[in-house]
Amino acid sequence: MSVLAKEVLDPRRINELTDDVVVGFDIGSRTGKAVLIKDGRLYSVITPTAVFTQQTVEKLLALLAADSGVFLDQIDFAIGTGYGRVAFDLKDTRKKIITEITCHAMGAYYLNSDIQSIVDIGGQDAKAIRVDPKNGHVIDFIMNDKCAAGTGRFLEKVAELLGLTTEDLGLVSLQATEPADISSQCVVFAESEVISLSAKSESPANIAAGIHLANARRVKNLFNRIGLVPEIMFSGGVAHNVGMKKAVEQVLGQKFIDVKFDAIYTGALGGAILAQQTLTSSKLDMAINI
Amino acid sequence: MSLNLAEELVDNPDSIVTQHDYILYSKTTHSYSPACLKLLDLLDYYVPKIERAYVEEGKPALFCNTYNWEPLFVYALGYTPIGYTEMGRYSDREDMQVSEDHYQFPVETCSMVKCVVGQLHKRIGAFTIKRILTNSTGCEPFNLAWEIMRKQGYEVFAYETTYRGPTVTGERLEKLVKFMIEQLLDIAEWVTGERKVDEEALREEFRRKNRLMKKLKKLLELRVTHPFYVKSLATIMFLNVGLSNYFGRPKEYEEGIDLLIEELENEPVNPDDLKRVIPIIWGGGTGQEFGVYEAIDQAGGSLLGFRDAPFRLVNEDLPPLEAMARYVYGNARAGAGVYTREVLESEYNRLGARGMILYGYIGCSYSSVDREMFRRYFHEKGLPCLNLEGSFQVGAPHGQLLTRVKAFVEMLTSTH
Repeated sequence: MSVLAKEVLDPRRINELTDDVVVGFDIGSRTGKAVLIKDGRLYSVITPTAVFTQQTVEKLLALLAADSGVFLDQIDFAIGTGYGRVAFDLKDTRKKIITEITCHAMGAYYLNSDIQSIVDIGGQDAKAIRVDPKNGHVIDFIMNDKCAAGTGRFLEKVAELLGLTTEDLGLVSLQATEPADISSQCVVFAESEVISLSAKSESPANIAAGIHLANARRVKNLFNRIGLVPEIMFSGGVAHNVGMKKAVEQVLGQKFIDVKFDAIYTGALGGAILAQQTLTSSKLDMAINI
Repeated sequence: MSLNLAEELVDNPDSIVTQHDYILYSKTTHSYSPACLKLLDLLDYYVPKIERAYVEEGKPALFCNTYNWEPLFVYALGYTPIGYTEMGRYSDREDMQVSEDHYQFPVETCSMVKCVVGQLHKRIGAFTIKRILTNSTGCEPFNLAWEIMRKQGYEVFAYETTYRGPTVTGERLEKLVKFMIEQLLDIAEWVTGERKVDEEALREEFRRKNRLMKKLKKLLELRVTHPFYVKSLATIMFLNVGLSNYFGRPKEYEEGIDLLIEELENEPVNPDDLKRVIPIIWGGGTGQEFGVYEAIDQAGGSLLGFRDAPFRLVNEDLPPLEAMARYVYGNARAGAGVYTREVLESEYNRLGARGMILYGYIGCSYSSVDREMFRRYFHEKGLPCLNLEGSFQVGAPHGQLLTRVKAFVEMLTSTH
């Protein structure tokens, strides 16, 4: 799909976009995302992550070409990010690898420059990121990847145990009357708790809400380390989960800011912006050296 | 490994898996520096050479801790020390498995301990070094490891942990010094059979240690103006491991350091390097996850400050055993975390560092408290810190650890 940049980006940032045709590729553990910027439009595509990073990249390129008519040789610069970035390759097209932490911060800054904190929950880890509202740079960050608990993969597992789809898990949790008390921080033990609660006829809604609250507490712990400053944005694949969003807001005692662009693309968008910035600074360097 | 294979590692860094691969890779990336090549050779053959000399020539050697005073004392007693924590460098997943399956170490036990146990287990029944000098450390997994190794036929001697509280001075400190002197004599008696120390040999080791500490200090100063000449892995090995045990060959080690100083003094300063360098302090132990250092280099960072930077010299004017005891209680490893913090702070002030990486091993509750304390302390001073937990296990570091390192360096770069 495509949108006009001026319709979704922070108006304070619009004039900073250049004419360069750039793409940000965010190869996550569950999905690959790409955002292309061309002629003031943002083209965003998504696909499930394939076994090999390159397959995901090729699929994303094909989707982008179908949407925008832009092919690989027309791309001026690309940034690869996400866990699959290490194997990212675009043949002769100029590219750079940047971590998803830097990309998410920049993406958030362009979506709304008042954002100072990001909750990013992806398939295999959860991150808390502090953003400099002056320039979109990372001030501090922390990652939780000790185990699968608190990640998108964990929520998928819980949905499976409750006989729900991942999409429905959040919706169902909104119907909870009394969220179940999930004590375990470990995915294996939490799984046992879910089974045990189900055996006691606890409702799927209460169990789902309890799981979301347990995960939300982990998010709060991350911010205890680096500080939480509003505005706050929820990015990453789990941002689509309304139950998780509600739980994190409840535990943090803060509302997430609404952005006009699907938050799952924040990293890819940040990558595309950084691609433009890289080109701009290299042109500046060349001009200085002439 | 052939030169071709080493070059292949440079062309394809993803194929670097073992710690030995990283050393070979370092040799190729430092091919312009005869000094680095010499020192990397010493590092590479450190343990095998000592073990071979023990077997073939009967040259006495023992395993000991890598605290910088312990190898010094062992040298003075006429033995060659092998830092047992270095054994992790030769470990693989099999060693971890031996500890977990055969000795029933819980999975969450510190990987450093498990690797050491696995390596020592492989030597059971072989004709090789069987003496272990250690201390009754606060690290329970290591205490358990030594008990197990004792039962497996190793000769283990554990002295009492040295600990000086931050407020201990005056009479209490003097009592500690006396106690330490007795412990040193206990160690000497266990090592040589005689409750005495060759004072001249100890003095000679003090002179060497002080000389080398001054040289390493000079080297670290030269690295500030030549931040990329010696890469992070090589620097930390030359400093943390080398300054502690001289890779088993003190004379050759010192020659290598002299040569490196000479190279750096003759190397012109590149102003571009000074513009792009991101000075980072390494606030952790040596760390056997060599890929982390490579990740720092690749991201454009440079480890210029270290927790184990030379700090206090041995007082050569005192009677040798007393000088040794006072050195033990006066250096950064005397127990309380604030001593290490002093070194880190001095490094921070020296370099105007932009960030600090606090590295420790997964499962090491011992160091995690200190790291958290350092993080908070330096954070309040405005120095960004990255708390990293890694593994002692051989193999490439996992992706998320590399993400942390790279994101941290990116953060420091963008805030420059």
